[in-house]
Amino acid sequence: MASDHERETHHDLPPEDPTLFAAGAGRARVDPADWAWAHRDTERAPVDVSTEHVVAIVVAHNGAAWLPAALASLRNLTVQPTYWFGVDTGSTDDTAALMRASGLFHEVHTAPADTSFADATRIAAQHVPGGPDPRHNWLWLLHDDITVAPDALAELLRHVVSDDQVDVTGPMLLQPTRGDDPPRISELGVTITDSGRVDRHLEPGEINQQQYTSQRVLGLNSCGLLVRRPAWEKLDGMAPEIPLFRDGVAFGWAANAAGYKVSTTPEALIVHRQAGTVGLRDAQLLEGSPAATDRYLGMLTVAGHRGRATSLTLILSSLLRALGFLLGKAPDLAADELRALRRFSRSGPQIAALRARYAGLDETRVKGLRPGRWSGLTHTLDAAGRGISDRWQHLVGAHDVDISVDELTGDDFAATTEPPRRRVWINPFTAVVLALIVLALVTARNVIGPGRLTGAMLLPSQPSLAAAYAAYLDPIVGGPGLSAPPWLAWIALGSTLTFGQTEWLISLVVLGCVPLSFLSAYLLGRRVLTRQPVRLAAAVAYALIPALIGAVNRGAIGVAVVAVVLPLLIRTLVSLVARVRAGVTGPDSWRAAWGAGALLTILTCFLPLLWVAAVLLAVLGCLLVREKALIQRAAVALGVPVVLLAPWWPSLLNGFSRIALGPDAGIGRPDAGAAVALLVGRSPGEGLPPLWLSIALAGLCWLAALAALALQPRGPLVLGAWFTAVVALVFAVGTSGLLATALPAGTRVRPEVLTWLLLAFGALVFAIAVAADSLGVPGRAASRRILSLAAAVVLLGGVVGATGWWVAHGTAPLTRTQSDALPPYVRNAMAAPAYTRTLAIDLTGEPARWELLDGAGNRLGDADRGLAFGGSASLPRDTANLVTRLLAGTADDTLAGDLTALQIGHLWVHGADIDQRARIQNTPGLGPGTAIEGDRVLWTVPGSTGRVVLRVGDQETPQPPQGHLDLPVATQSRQLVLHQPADPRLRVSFDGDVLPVRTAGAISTVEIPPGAGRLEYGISTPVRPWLIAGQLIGLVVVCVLAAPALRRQDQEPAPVGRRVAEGGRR
Amino acid sequence: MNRISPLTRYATVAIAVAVVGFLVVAALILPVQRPAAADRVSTEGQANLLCPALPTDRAESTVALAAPDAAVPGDLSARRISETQADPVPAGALVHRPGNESPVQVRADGARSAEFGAAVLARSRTALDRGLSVSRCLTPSTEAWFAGVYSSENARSEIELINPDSAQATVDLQFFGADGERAAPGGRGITVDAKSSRVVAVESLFTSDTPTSVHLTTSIGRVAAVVRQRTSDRTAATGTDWLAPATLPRTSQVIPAVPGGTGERELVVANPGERRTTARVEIITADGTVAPADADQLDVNARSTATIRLDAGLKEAAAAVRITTDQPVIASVRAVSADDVAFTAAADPLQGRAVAAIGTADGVAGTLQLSNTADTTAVVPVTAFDESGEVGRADVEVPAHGTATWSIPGTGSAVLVDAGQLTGLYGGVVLRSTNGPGLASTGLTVPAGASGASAPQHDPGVAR
Repeated sequence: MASDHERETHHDLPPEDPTLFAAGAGRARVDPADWAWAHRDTERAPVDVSTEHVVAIVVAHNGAAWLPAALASLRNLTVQPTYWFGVDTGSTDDTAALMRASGLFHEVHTAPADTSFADATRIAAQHVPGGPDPRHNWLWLLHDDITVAPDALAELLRHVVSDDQVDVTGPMLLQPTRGDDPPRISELGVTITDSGRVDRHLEPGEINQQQYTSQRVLGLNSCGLLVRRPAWEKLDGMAPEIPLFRDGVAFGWAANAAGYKVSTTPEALIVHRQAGTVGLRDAQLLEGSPAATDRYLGMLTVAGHRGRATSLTLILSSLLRALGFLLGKAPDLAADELRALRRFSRSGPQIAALRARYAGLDETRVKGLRPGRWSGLTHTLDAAGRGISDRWQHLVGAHDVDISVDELTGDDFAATTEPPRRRVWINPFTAVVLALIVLALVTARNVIGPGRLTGAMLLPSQPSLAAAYAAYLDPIVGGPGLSAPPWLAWIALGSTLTFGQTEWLISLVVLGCVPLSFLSAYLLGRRVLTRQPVRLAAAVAYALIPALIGAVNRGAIGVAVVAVVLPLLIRTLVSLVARVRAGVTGPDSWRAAWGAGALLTILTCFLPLLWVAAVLLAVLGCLLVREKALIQRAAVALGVPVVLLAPWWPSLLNGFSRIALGPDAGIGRPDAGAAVALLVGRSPGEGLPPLWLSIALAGLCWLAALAALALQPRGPLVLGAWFTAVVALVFAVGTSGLLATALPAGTRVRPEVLTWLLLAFGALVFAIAVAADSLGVPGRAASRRILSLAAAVVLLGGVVGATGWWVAHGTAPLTRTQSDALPPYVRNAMAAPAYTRTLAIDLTGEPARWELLDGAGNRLGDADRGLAFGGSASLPRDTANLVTRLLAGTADDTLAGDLTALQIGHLWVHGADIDQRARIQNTPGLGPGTAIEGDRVLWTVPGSTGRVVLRVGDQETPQPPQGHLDLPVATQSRQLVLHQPADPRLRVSFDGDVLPVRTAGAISTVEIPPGAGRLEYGISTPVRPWLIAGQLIGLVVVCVLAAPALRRQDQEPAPVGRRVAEGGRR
Repeated sequence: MNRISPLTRYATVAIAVAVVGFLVVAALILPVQRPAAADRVSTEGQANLLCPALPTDRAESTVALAAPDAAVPGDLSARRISETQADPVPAGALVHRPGNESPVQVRADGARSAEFGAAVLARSRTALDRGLSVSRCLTPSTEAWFAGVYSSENARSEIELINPDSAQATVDLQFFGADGERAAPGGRGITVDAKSSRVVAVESLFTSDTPTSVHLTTSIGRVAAVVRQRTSDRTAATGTDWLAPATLPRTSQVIPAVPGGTGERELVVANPGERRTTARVEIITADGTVAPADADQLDVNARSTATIRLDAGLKEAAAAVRITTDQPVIASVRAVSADDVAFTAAADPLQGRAVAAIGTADGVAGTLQLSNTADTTAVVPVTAFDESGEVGRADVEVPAHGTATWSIPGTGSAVLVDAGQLTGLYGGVVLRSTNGPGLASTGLTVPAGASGASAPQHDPGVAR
């Protein structure tokens, strides 16, 4: 950002400026003489360079725009070359004339337009004889788009004279800068990776502070290259196959491999405009865009030194880059990449020529000079780190640089020597973030540790990433019209990011809900609020809402996600409206719409009714604004969830009330409280603050929101927030009295209200913040000032009080479970090989409570998958009946059979007294009860052999829930018996022939033919994988459309060069 | 901002306040949908009762099977335990079958299992089984407790073990005497073959001048157990009756249906625990609950049995006895009349539709005795019916902490007590011969699972 700003104010270089190349050339113009004492100790012994015979070769092509500046600087050289040789490669402008007219050159040669730099230099080297001593004969290669420091040649020669091992050296190339700016280094020796990417060893925008000393490098830019003539002749000059851009590095590589010493001379300075790279040169050699040519030549350079395998790697990595650019919405970059690839694929002769040229070289000599295998990765990580750091600086406002009045008035003495950068790591925002993180940790003090987080609305997370994905992907047995809710897909995707640990994700979202909500609310605040204190206070107030309405305490993961995503959605919408208002068109103007669609998709997954509310608000907004562009974008944003979640809609509309329910609603209770309590943020359930605190905080919120309305009765944001709050409360109050039906079939629960409360109070806080932000500085009237101060103190007091309660009780009813209520052998029996179920009965309270468990027990999302009952409506009833009879002590002969029919392998009872224990024990067919730790008794049901069994005669062998079996020829009748809810999608085939399934209750039996063959069985959902693949592709497309376009990073100097160069042409 | 008139401000705020007010009113008046009362999960299944074998030698004996309400679906059938063929009992009927040497298994299916009764009666004027004995038929179980088992010179007891299942059962017996646990070699590992019964004579194990208590457990299978006790003086039998299992050890026990009239009334309390306890004794009579004079406390040592006489306190009243302790105990009462003996064990409260299949018999008058430990008066509908149908009905008013009696009409009738969801109601039937020696006391067949406790609830948080 900052550099953009700076670039805009660049202007042309005054070539005659003596301080141009000064290290740290400053904002204040200072006579170097005044500072001579500071450099005194660095003065070096004089070196005699007069013995060196230098032929300077200037190659120019269509450079009339910038050539005069170059020539002027060359004329000022303190040490002049022995011989000046100019080559004009068929320029169509008056380049040749300019060169001749300058009087600098001993000779100007004109070559055809397709002459490469390599050829041009070869021509020059052939034309000009050297001095008597070959060791002191040099060629100095120069481009036409340069400005040379007066002592550049002197420094180069001083280097080679004082170190006579050096055969090739080059200056430090600088970017063109405006006079006021410190000189930024453009190149000081380069190396090239295996994929052909150039590595310049420089930080972006690095300034020359004389921090570099001479060092060995793989290659140098051909501009300013000083080559000992014997080396040049030995290497036969530059490779004509690499006519430009990479010619220097290719030459350096060859020189190194041939045993010559290639080294930099950082004291020699040349400003290089890079006219060719920027595309200002109309050169035949370019064949398309300079970027494509550059890539092609990079690949060619590497291929020339390496075997055939490298070519494959190059092609592959090039394809990957192209794909990456495409995903990053940079089609032009991708096209360049593909163009380069196409050229490379047709460049067999060139590669062969290069390989022949480099055949005798010893490649081991360059080993230390080339980047390692993982340099690409470290480069990417560096870039990512820079990106994060930039984002953070943007977030904390480090670049909101205020310009002081003194600076504007232009007083020389007022100019600060340091840019007024805010401290990035010590500022109120960082302090609040850190404080909230620490407080969140303190709040979570009782639930930090091993085990899985559970709460009234939170089931323990899945034991593995595979299980997390399976929770979304697997069909719901017994529910042919049902599919797993897509919020499970987000959990699985999120768990992938948390290193496959679902528990980490859940703990982060639930326990970190407040800090995360704060961050996202602050992001919104940065967009719409101007005052930092208001932003911070409002974001903290918003972040506390999920805790204060009991969502965090109950482990309502849906509310936590909504709390984080909602401000981002609002922020995206604000930016959407802003773009429409600003009349932005083109693909970029649709970005916010796609982004809003993606965020709305997340919200819809966690509470589908939010989509309906969004439609309502969008319709109203569009009616008010009536702008076609806005309506189109709103339609996109609202349409994205409809399309992406399409596979879920049938299941959602199957039972209408699921639309009003959040994640795992089936574990809730149908308790109803007074609906009026919702207006102070209280809903039935645990984990709420004391009543007085709720009333005090909500009352404060309502009063302040009314005050905000009084302050801005026509403010669109305040009115919009109020309207949103009212709509949310209408949803909350209107649905709170209703009953919804959730899975497991027949479960009656109350619709989700917490999300509406979050939305309502969040909107009120937003209204208050907007009004507080717009308040001017309180006037001189003491009464107003006192009033404002009092209001601020009361509001802040509310926030502080709420924080206090949150820290004290913020996760009180949440617990961590080790899932070890059942003994390990029972858990093992449930997981494999028999996959039996366990009937758990808790008699510690009244009434008795029970649950049927299978697999790994009840896990996150299982309630939305019907728990152990799947989609079956009869299984919960049958099990309830069974429990009643067990507890009644009917000592019923049929009980054992019913337990076996459900494949209950174990009966686990907690808190049974002697009577209850005796009654259960009386059940015929039950094994003896074993007392286990903590007032629990466990019975085994010997008759339960497995959920899926292969029965041959009387022999039953358990099988996995789905899979295949290779069966031999049978002598007895055999069946596959599946104890699972009846499902028409059950498909059992034998050698490809589908077998008829006989279903009675929860038992399906299949007669297997006697022959040998393969038996395959399972729930068949042929369409679902395609639907999910479609969802994934759709999501990626939406994300790509919503993401900002990529910018090429490794061409940082380009725009500068272009502007300067263009300026020069004018 | 300056251009906004104060009127606009006031109007906007007023509208907002009105909207919030509207929300408050809506929240107050909007109806709240209530979930339908949880579907009453029926305990439909199957209930099995086992009736003890009857002495056929010189005795008159009957098995009575009652299926009171014809409208209740489900079958009731009876068969000898060793047989597979069952005789169905028609719904809405009371059936008397002649007694049998083999125990009888009664089976109720479906909804019938919540409303049926079965009992046995035996009487004899002479010989070993002199007197009147009545017992309800019993549920097989893996554990049973008996308080007051007499095995002395003047008393003999037999424990009848009935195994209804198709696998052998193994039974262990443990005895608690006045001085602690009594060693009884031979009391362990008693096998009972499948679908058969076995009688264990306690005297073969030990004799004791004081009553003992028995803890029965099965290590394999389950059995129904009942104790048949015969008393005699030096010359002749003085009475016979069955002792039904007492409720499992608890800190509060009620022994209902203690017969009124003259004669010895002995309370037997056994403490199977490791700590000594003192039982507080109360009697529940028509006049209320009182502590009997001189017998309001009974010390019971650990793992032992103690007795106390209640004759003085009861003053010949028909009553129930309640004991309260700080350690779980079991209890029963022995009642002796001029010509017979009766045993009444502590029982569970009545619930649902409880049936005494033998309320009266030819030459036997029956009294239903109901005791109420609750704080409010209970009005209990009771119906007497015989083979031809209903013979009488009444709403018996049982005062709080009091006992009420109802003379059962008819000869050979059964009685149905509709305890519904009442709590703290205990009851039993006291039978007396009108034409010979005879006193007996029995409990009712109480349907399993009809208790007032609410239906078990599905809760995904169990065993989380």
